[in-house]
Amino acid sequence: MKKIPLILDCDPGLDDAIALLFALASPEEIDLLGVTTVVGNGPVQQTQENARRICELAARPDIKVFQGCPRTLFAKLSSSTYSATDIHGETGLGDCKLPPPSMPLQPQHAVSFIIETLLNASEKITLAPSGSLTNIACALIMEPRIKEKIDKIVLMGGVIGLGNITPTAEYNFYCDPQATYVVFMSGVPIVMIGLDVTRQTQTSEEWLHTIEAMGTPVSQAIIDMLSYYHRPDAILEPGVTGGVLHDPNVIAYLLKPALYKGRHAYVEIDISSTIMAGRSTVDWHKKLSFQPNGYVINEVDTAGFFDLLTERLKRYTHVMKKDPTCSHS
Amino acid sequence: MSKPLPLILDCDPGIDDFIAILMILAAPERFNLLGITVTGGNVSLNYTAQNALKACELVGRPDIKVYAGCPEPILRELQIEDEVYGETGLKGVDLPKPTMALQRSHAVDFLIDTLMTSPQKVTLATTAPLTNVAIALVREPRILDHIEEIVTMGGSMTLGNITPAAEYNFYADPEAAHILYTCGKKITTVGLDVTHQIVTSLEWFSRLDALDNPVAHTLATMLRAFYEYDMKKFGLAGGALHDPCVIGYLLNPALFNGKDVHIEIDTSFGIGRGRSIIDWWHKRGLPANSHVFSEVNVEGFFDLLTDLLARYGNRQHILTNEENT
Repeated sequence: MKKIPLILDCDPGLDDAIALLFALASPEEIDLLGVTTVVGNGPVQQTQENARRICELAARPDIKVFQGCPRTLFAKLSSSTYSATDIHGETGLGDCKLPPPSMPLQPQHAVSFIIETLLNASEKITLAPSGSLTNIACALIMEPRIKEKIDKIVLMGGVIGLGNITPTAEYNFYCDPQATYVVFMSGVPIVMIGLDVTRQTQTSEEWLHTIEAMGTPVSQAIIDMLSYYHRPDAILEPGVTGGVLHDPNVIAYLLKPALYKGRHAYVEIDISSTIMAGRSTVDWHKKLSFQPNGYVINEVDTAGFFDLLTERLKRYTHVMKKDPTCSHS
Repeated sequence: MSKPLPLILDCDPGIDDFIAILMILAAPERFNLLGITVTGGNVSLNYTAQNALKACELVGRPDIKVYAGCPEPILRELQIEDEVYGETGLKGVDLPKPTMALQRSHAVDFLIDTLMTSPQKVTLATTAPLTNVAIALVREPRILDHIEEIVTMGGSMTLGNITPAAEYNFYADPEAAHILYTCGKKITTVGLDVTHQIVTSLEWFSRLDALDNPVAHTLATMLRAFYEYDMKKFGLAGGALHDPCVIGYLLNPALFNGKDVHIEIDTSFGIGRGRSIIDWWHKRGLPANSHVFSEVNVEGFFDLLTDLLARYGNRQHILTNEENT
């Protein structure tokens, strides 16, 4: 099978961290060109450090990690106003205490890396953002010609139904509505994996036991991260009983799209300053006459998702700490 | 005499930006021009970049570094102003195709790299939609620590010129203007309230003709082609020289009068989109984020501009001039 050339744009963050482990465990399908980081679940200094921690945990210090924008376009998030520590813990990785990374941070800015990689690409590249879309939007604004080199953007964000940070909006989109608007109006094919889907992939005690039973450094790290969701004072949405694995859905979709169902629809991002700020209005029933600009996912095969994720995480059993080439069947 | 001011000009030439470049390059004892960054604006990026190069070549400065930046505003398609400036942005003249080349770096990368590594603080003059500056601020907010002053042509306290409410540069990219005015640094704002006082006249064109140098002649030809638009459209006595006011201020701040106030940019999609809401009477009690000019010494400005252009009659004079400090 031909590998998917991929840039992962993230803000680890517990579920981003699991998404990254998921991607790194799937080298037959994914050619990870670089990991770009953005402010979001923590300040960008922290999210890039966490990305490197996770790469080292997966014994992949060869992965290129780039630091991106330290603030969103309208500075709803900046180095002084990030706000997700209640969800992701002080370090952004829950109770997981990984050592400070020793692998290097790439000197180039994430936005410059995205532009340069796309402009020089001989084949189209997939972008997988799981945080605020600030880096991607800046790249599109600086160099619109990159659009021709993007195969598609498979993103975690938005919602058809209820929001999670406001009654109307999902967190990633809410933090940078303007950037999200730029991405959705760009004309680039978009696969939107929103809360409607990710709420269908909540961790259960049973699944956590399966992970724990693996008994590897990676499985232990995941347990330490996810137990943060399961702590007694955890702030969970109504109707949610475990950790919602938002971002790993992006990787699962790339690996096995058949797990997901959705439809092409017109999506518009609300960039007003009203209660609707950051909402993704999805024209699911085609009430408007606009051309669809996204493939909006609304269903996932939950058992299939967890089977795939578990299978990939099991791969870390075998000395992946020592073998960066990851040659396994 | 003080050292030349390290300066970056972010512009979208456009005739009045073109004049701003000529002003800067006429005063090398005052300005150390680190680079010119261009954005799409008055006309498309392709033309604004070419026009910046043409300005440099017209005055024999092919050594100036010119960087192309963002072709479009943050959210919406660029609304060019070719009705005013002609398709190429330099209506009325046909300057030779430039032989000097654009720099390879993107304007935003140049802004960030230059500011972050500059040993001294740099002044940033902007005469265009603020897309380049806004993206630089989002990517690397620490550039603010390396900026001496940001002087921006844009906004209006009274009427707009592209809509009833909004001035063109802010209207073309209101989100970028919002990013600038919320960045935490006090912005020096040169809006229509002053630039509409700086209008060309047949009498001043005669002064340019009398200078008897090719640069002044080229300029007079350009401005003659352009000035009637403002007279018909806005009832001005001539063509407004918006962007040159920014350079005029940097050369002689005493020509301008204003006060510290709060500005908010309307980023809604209503009739006010792109308007600079200037709280001149401090009704809102918000901390000032700008120094906004309301008055300009018109005669003093034109004397300054004419003197600068006169220098092009004697190239040697430009390189050695020590007056005007």
